[in-house]
This record gives sequence, C-alpha cells and structure tokens, in this order.
Amino acid sequence: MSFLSPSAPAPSSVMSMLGTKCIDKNYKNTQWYWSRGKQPCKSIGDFDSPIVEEQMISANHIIFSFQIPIPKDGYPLDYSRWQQNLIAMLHLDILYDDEDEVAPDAVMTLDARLGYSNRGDPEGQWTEYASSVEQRHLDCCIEQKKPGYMYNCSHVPLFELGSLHHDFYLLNVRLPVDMLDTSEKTGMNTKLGHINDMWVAFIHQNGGFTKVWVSLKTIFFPIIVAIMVWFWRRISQLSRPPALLEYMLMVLGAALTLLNCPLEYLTLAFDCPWMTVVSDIRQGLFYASLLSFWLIFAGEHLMDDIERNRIRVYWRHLSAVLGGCLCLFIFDMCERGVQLRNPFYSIWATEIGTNLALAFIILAGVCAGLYFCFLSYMIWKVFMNISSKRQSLPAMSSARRLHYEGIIYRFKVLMLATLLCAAMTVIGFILGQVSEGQWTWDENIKLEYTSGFFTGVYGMWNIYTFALICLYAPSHKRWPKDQNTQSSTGEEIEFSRLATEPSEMSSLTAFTKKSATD
Amino acid sequence: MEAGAKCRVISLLVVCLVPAATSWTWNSVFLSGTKAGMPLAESIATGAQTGMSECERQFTWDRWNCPPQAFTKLHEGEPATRERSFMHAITAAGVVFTITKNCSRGELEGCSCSGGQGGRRRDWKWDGCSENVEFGSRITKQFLDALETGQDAKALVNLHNNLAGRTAVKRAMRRVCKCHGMSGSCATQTCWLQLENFAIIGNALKKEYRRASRLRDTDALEAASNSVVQLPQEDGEENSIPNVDARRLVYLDPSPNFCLANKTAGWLGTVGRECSRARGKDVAKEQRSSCRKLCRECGLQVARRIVTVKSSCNCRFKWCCSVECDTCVKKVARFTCVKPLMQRTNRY
Repeated sequence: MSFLSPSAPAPSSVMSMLGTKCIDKNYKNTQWYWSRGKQPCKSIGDFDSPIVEEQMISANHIIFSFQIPIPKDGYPLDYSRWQQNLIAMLHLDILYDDEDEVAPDAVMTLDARLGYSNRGDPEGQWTEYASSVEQRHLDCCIEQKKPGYMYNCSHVPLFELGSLHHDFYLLNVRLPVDMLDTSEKTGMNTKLGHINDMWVAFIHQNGGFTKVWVSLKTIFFPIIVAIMVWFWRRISQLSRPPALLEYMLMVLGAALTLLNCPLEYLTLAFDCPWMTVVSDIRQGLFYASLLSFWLIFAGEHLMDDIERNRIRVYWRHLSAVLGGCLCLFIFDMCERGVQLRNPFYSIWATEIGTNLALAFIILAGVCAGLYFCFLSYMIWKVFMNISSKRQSLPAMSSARRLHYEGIIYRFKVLMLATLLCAAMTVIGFILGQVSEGQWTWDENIKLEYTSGFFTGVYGMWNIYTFALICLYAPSHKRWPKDQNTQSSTGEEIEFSRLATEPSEMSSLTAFTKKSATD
Repeated sequence: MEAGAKCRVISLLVVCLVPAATSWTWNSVFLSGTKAGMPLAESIATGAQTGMSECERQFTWDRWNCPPQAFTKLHEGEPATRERSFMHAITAAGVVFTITKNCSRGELEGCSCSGGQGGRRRDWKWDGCSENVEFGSRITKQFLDALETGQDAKALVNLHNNLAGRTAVKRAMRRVCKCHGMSGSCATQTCWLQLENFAIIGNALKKEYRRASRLRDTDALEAASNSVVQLPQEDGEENSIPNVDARRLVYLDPSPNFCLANKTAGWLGTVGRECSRARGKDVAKEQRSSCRKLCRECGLQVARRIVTVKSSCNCRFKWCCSVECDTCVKKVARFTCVKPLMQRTNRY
C-alpha cells in the first residue's frame, strides 16, 4: 500500500480561528452574527474598547462569532463533502488579573449555536444546524502570576459533526451571565477570570486522504468478496460439514467485507451524521472477529485429542472479547450516539458522565487483559504440546507423523505472520505517535507519515485476511490412496479420531505433506 | 503607543515599502491584501508597534530602556550592538505575531493557505491549509529582510536577528493535540499550534539577548561570502549565518556605556529614570536590582519621593465589562536617579 501513501496527505488538518467579538444590546437567540460578507455584525477589537463602557455592554451582549472556513489567498473557501467530519476545540485566552483570578474548579456555561449555509444561498441566510447550552470544565494554570500574562488553559471539546455536508458554517458562542440579583447564588460564568479572546480549532479530515482511503476500500472490497465466494464453494464441495475454523474464517471475511464496504460514497450525496458511529461499529466488529479467530485457531491446534470444533467450548474465552467490545460499544453510543442528536454533547463534561465513561473503558481494559491471558495461555499450551509431540514424532507412523507435522507447520506459519503484522502495527503506531509528538522545524523535510501508516496497516490486515482465507481453504485435490499403504489398519482407526482426516486437510497441509513425502 | 509613534512607524513602513515592492511575490501579496478587509500593511505596522511596546516593557529596569525613537533609526548606519539585535528580533516577532493573529481572525484578506512552501499554492480540499504562523513568518521574512539591502556583515547580522525573532514566535507556540480515532482513541490524533501571549515571546527573546553572541567581523564576512553562494537555492527558514543557532541573537559591536549621555545618538543617560525597590517573590531580579544598576553604578543617587496614587481596589468583576471597584488612595514611594549632591553643588 506504500505506493499510495506518498501522495496521500495527512489524515486531517486544522483551521485555528480567533473569534470575532460581536456586540448586540438586543441579543436574540434567533439572530445570526457573522463577521464577513454583507452586513457583518457590529464588533469590537477588545474588551478595553471605549464602546463597551459607553454602551454598557455586558457579557450577555457579546457573541463570539466564527465563520468558517476562513478565506485564503483572497478567495472564499468552502468545505467539501470529501472532508467528511468536523471537530471543534475551544480555547480561552485569559489574562491574569490579581483581582479576578480563575477559580480552580471553574465551570463555564456556553450558549452555542451552529448554523450552515451553502453556495448559491442568498448572502446572510444561515440555517440552524444545532444549538445547545453546555457546561465545560475550565482547566487553567499559570506559571508567573503577573498582570499581562496569560493562563495556560486546556482546550475543551466543543462539538463533533459526523458529516460535513454543507459549504459554510457559522458558530455563535456566548458566555452568558445572570443579570438578576440571584447571580450570586448561581454564579454562572463569574469565576472565569479576565477573558481576552476565544479561539476555536476546527479539525476536519483531508479530502485527499478520504479519496485515497476510499479508493483503497473500493479495491479491497471486491477482492475479499471474491475470495470468500471461492472459499465457500470449496467448503460446500466437501462431504463433511464445515469445521469451526472454517466458519470463523467466513466470519472474519464477512467482518472485513463490512469494513471494506465503501459506504463513504454515500456522504457525497446525503447528509450522514451517523457515519462516524457506523465506522466505529464496523472497526469494532472486525477487531472482535479477528481476536475471536486467533483464540479459536489456537484452541483448534491444541492437539490434545479432545474433540472441540464447537463454539460453545470457547464461551469463556469469547465472552472476554464480547464483553470488551460491548463496553466500548456502550461507551461509543453514549458519546457519539448522543452526538447524533446534539453535536455539542460530551460525556466528559459532567462528573457522572466522566465516571461512567471511565468505568466502561476500564471494564473494556479488564476484558482485554483477560483475553490476552487466555490467548497467551493457549499459545503456551500449544507450544508445550508441539514440543512433546516432536519427541514422539519419530515413533509414529508416517501418515500420523505427517498429519502432526502439518498441524505444527500450519500453526507456526500463522503465528509468525500474525506476530509480524501485529509488531508492524504496533511499531507503526508508536512511530506515528512519536512523529506527531515532535514538531519538525524544517518544513521542507516534512514526511507525511501518519497517512502512510494508516493506509499501510489497513492494506496489511486486508492481505493477511486474504492470505488466511486462501491458504486455509480445503484442498480440492483428492488425497491419493496409495500414499497411506504404509499405515496399518489399527492406526487408521486411531487416525479417524483426530479432528481432521487426511482427505479433508487444508491445501497448505496437503502442500506440506506433499513436499514432505517427496 | 501614542499616535505620534504610530505615525512614525507607518511612515517608516511606507519608506520601506519602496525597495520591498521590487520583489513580485511580496507585491502580489500586498495587492491582494489591499483588496478588502484589513490591509497587510496595517498589520505589519501594528506588529512593529507590538514589538516596540514589548521592548519597552522588557527593558523598563535596564540601563538602556528601549526608547521608541530608537526604532526610527533601525535601518540607518548605526553600529550593530546587542541592543540593536534585540530591536530587530522583537520587531520581526511582533510582525509575525500580529499577522498570525489577524490571519486567524479571518479579516486579513491577503492571508495565504500555503505557508512555508515558498508560496506554492496548496489545495485546501486535498490537504488543508498550513498553520497561520507559517504565513506570518513568510511575510515577515519577505518584508523585513527586503529592508536589508546591504551585502555586508551588518546586513547579515540583521537578517539573522530577524530569523531569531521569527523563530521565537514559533517556539513559543504551544502544541496542542486532539485524539479522534475509533471511539475517541488516540489511534488518530491531530496537532496544531496555539499562539501564546506576546509577553512569553518577549521573555524568550530577552533571554536570548542576555546570551547573545558577538561575531568577529571577519567570521561574519566569511559567512556572508558563503551565503551569497548559497543564496539561489535558499528556501524556507534558511540560516543566513552558518554554525549559529537560529534562536541565538548575534551582534558585531560592543554596546556603549549607557550611563553616559550621548548627544549625537540622542541618548540622555540614566538621569531622571525611575527605579524600583519592590521586594517579594514575584518581583523580577532586574527590578530588584534596578536602583543599584540604574543609579548607583552610574554614579547617581536615588531620590525618594512620596506620591499619592488613586487606584481602584476591592473589585468585584464579572467576566467582561462590568467591574465594580472602590477607589483607594495610597501613598507610594517613587525612586528616581538624580545627580549626586556634590556635583550639583559644584555646578553652582
């Protein structure tokens, strides 16, 4: 996939915007305030402006306006549907003032409205997309407490849009205060300190990245579907019912097909805010089936002469996978699911929500830990059995020996391939974090690493699954009868108790056997 | 800044625009900037002013107090002292800062999508726009570096100090990241730069001022000849003086004794300057030692006088605009440097 990565831009980019401070003594929450174009709002440069005192402007009359995207090179930009999603992060510039310090546990109340407009709409016509009154924790610290210095405040999430369907967006944010005398009781937005400016960073996916990503999906989708059809036809040609492992391969293939399905094309025509949730679910299903597959694959290669081949045997192990995925699913629905209704919602904004989210994440972590314990134990057992079988191999008859050798070979190949893929993913991930974490001063040697990593990993797991389905398909070649002449009848009876019979061995095993007999 | 100073800066800019307009990239940016919205030239002027007032603030308690009139002579044949290097750097930093801020506000029409790529037009729909600071830095480089027309060591030193100023803004920016992968995990994260307060940038440059390195003339000239050879392939943030860190301020000539008045340079010495005897943890070292440095070490005496100051106190502030304060009258001690009594009596 590396052939695509050099041309792919970074997965997402940011447009950081400083809010225009609009003022309106007769603020109405049905009115829009914009800073560019015809009839922009009346605005002030900063709060020390004489207009503030003259007109008795209070916090309720101040509207921070963000009209995105910002025009560049003297040309008004517009969002493209290829840019997929929009995330807004809010940041306040708060100046230190010894008479007005920021409270350590300050909560800000935001009255936010998001509107949109499209090319061809009359200028100044904004349609409301969402509006909400939200509360966010303000986490600020300061090193030097001197007038003129600024607090170091954390960015707070403002909203997330699952689809970027319209051309222009307008965000109006107010930090209202209670004007009545009861304000001492509620104290809304009174402990925020000396606010000087409001920034919002708008993060969107890059159109070029979406194009590369979707074309990758479009290529892999038919390939995986074709290999699954071929695989299933092979299975149905057999006289025996499909084995558990073969069912698992089909499940894995189906999950990958679901992930590969280029649903993103829909966003070009329709408004699909559910796309992020759906892609989270698709990814989750693929991970769940991959993890389950590894468990069952290890279990089916235990070689301890116990008949498994049924999913019920693995319920304990699989429940760890299912439990973890369910926790993450519930968490996802609580965050991104609710955001479908209110894009300004964040589960982390309230204390109960934070605890709930943390509980689900920790539970998912426990499940992941359990899963890895199960898997490592199983793999360890397989290796123990392999070494014990190795010792008794020379004493076995050739057919039996070949059968075990085939199993060992098959297991080791998958083990190696899996470890390689997992290691590359982990290394790529770490490198990506490191390269993102550092700021490269030299603009000229800016390596677009992250998109290469994403496309590379995505392609790698596709090829991995493709290879699994391909290699573990049952062989269509009939096992030649004369090769079993050496084995005695007693051993044949014993042989039939094994999970797989020689005639129905996978093509890989058959290949091994063939090369071994040659 | 007073109106007079602003006029001075703008007139200075207009004078400076003539040589700068010869470069066509600058010209095109300037023209697109004047179409609508806030013109770029105004941003540059405001930026230079921001730099000037920060310079004044930084040097309040030093012998040299960064007088605003010094900036009008910034491109005349003054010796390239440590102070001059700071002035160049803080001006560059102020311009980068202001352009970046105005660009982020969306009101600067000349603001470009591509930043450091030497003006290569980026496709916003394909890979987004670069950070605004890249644009600010590029314009500042085009504008301020064009003022250095000479090929001598002094011009090179000025170019390097401009670079140091631009670098200071970028380094002072805070890198912020947001995770937005599957279920909000950090599998995907996006980072950007958040502009800091200009005081932070001023502090960083003041630190660089203290450890500025003096270049021997020959070294600089050698470097000059090297860089002239390299000039055609120069792209982006290239260091004009090799082996010197981009952050480091450089100068050629030693500073004069600022205790003494220099009529030709328009410097009055430290007589009449105010110093501070404020104590406490939050008081900077320069401020604490200011009376010693400004007055006593210059052979002057500290005069103490008590003044009554009216100030607002016990303020009850709500965010924005409504402050209810009491007026307090306080007696404060003010200290100024005066000529010793001996000398004064001698004169009579």
